[in-house]
Amino acid sequence: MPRNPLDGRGRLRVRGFESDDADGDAEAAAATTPTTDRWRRAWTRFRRDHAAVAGLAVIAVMALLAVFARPIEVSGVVVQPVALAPYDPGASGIAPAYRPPSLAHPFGTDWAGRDVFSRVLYGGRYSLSIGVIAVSLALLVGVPLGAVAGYVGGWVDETIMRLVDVLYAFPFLVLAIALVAVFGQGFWKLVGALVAVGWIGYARLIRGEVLGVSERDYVLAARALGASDRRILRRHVVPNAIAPVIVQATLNVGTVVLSAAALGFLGLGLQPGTAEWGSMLSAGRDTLVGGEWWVTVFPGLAVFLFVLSINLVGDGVRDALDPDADTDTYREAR
Amino acid sequence: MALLEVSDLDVRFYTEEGAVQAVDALSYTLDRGERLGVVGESGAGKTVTALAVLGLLDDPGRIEGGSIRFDGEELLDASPDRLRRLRGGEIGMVFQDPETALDPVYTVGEQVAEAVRVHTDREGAAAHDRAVSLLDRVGIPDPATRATQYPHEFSGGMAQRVVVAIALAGDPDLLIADEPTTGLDVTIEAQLLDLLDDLADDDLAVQLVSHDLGVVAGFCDRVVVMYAGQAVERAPVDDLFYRPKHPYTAGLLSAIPRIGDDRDRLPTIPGTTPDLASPPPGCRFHPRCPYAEDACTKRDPPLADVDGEVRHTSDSDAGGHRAACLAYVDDADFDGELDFRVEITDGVNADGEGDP
Repeated sequence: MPRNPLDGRGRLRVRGFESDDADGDAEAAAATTPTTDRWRRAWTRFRRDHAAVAGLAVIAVMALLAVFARPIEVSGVVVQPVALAPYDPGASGIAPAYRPPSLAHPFGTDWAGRDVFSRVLYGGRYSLSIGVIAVSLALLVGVPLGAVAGYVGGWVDETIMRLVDVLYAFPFLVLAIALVAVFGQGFWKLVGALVAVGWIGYARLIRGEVLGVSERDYVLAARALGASDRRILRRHVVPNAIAPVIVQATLNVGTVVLSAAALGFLGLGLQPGTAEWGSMLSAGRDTLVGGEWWVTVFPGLAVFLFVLSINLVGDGVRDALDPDADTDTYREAR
Repeated sequence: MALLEVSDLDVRFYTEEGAVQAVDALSYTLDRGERLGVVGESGAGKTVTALAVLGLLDDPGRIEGGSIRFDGEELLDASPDRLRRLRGGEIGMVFQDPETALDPVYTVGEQVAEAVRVHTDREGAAAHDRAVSLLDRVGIPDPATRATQYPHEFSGGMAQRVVVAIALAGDPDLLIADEPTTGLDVTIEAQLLDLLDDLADDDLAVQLVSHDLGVVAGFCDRVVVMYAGQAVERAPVDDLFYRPKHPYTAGLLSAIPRIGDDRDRLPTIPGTTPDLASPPPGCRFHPRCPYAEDACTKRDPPLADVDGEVRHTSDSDAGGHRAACLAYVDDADFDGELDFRVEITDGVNADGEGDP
């Protein structure tokens, strides 16, 4: 005879629990919650990070100052007429050389009598655009190569990653110096050198991520659905593997600006005399002995402020894209 | 002609420990609108078989022999392009874990619409409309709103319905469901099985891979029991549960707890599944089989008709009841008796004898 464990213990009966709610209500309630995509959610989290928002504001201000420093002409047509910088950054002799900061020249003047304030404002154009363009191009090269290497594997992976290993064997700055020394100076050559040494980091990072993402069930599911490899890689693998690369790229904008400044300081960046922050530091290095501190301090401060801000933003982006990271829980706990 | 005919399928994985025979001379057929259950322990080769049918085996797995015919077409010779159209088009697949089978970065509607775009010539809004109607078809309430949500906003049962909707996007003839209810609780499992049941009524063939005998009993028409990569018993579902013929099947059935059971301990099958890189000689089940004799260590039993007639070829006699045990092989040197039997306790007492 089957034995019921509840035999002889009386029956349980719960009263008053009858509810006239239909079953579907819970689903309907869930359905009315507004849905947000992950970029909007990341932005919401990013906004809570005050340091990162401050960094973003500083960068925005610096970018605006750079854009509005001098009028911009595109093939003879003035598209941006505002000039915040009081003097032409290239014009020499507008004041005696080495004048300390004053109302007329807030940051003083340099050896050629050029207005340092105007030059620092205008120099943002070089530094910021080098940072953004070099990182974007490096992403364009590194992400597809790394993603294909990780997804396809085999000899493709071997070829690409061994090339990355070889490039990694050179110190970042030394390789960039060598490239500039070989190909010469100039804005695009400088960007090219920074891209050539910058893409390897992204390729390696996304390859590792792709290796992990490729094992996920939704990739198998997409294959079981008959999607082509290219489509799977582009639509399912890369979007799920890209977050750490974005974080790395944001932080790298700072590194690249520093490297550009370092190359400028070594005289390997843009043409001598260009109002680029690194070149200005380089040109002013003799003045450190003579006590004309303003010639180097202001461009140095600009580099410092920009790199600090971009690092704050990068940290904020990382926390926003990966809420499980340690710093976030630390901030929550505070 | 059967919709899916798998015969003598051999799948091996080449690992550092040697070649692992994951599927060994497996044969089964599946007709249109039929529901076939594939059951067995973990590592029996159920999922590998499903992936092999879809041509989704990755290195180091390789199909080493046999044939897979779908609607008369040999899939092992098909071009990669043809296979891609087949996957999701004529054969849909449902995965075990719905939460990981959906891509977290796209809305659910977008993922269903993607499947629609791949397999039909609908584009843009038409694909989206079709996606919403598919979500409706699989019983998702308020499908238009739900389509704009992300997978993490779905419960497990609802997410699995989405996975089914994606599998249905190409209007397939065959649905391979790999443990579709394993991650779900029992009420949701029942609802999902109802849905599959409903779909199967529309002439959709279903290959249900499961280790849950209860699910198989309630859903399938025929069952293949797999052990260590081989089919050890193949029978209509009633025969399998009321008259199991293979000792392994009997062991599985006796290990199911029942309401009102007064046993203190559930019987188990002693031992574990063999290492398929070096399977035991003879019958693969003999180290764990209480009825094993000397002959079992020497000869690998073929799938024999349980009436005693041996058939080596994988002919189309799919409805029959077969077991791979020497007890059913006439010329085998097997003297013992399989003296397990099934007792049916709810009134009608019809004992199925396990001996030949």
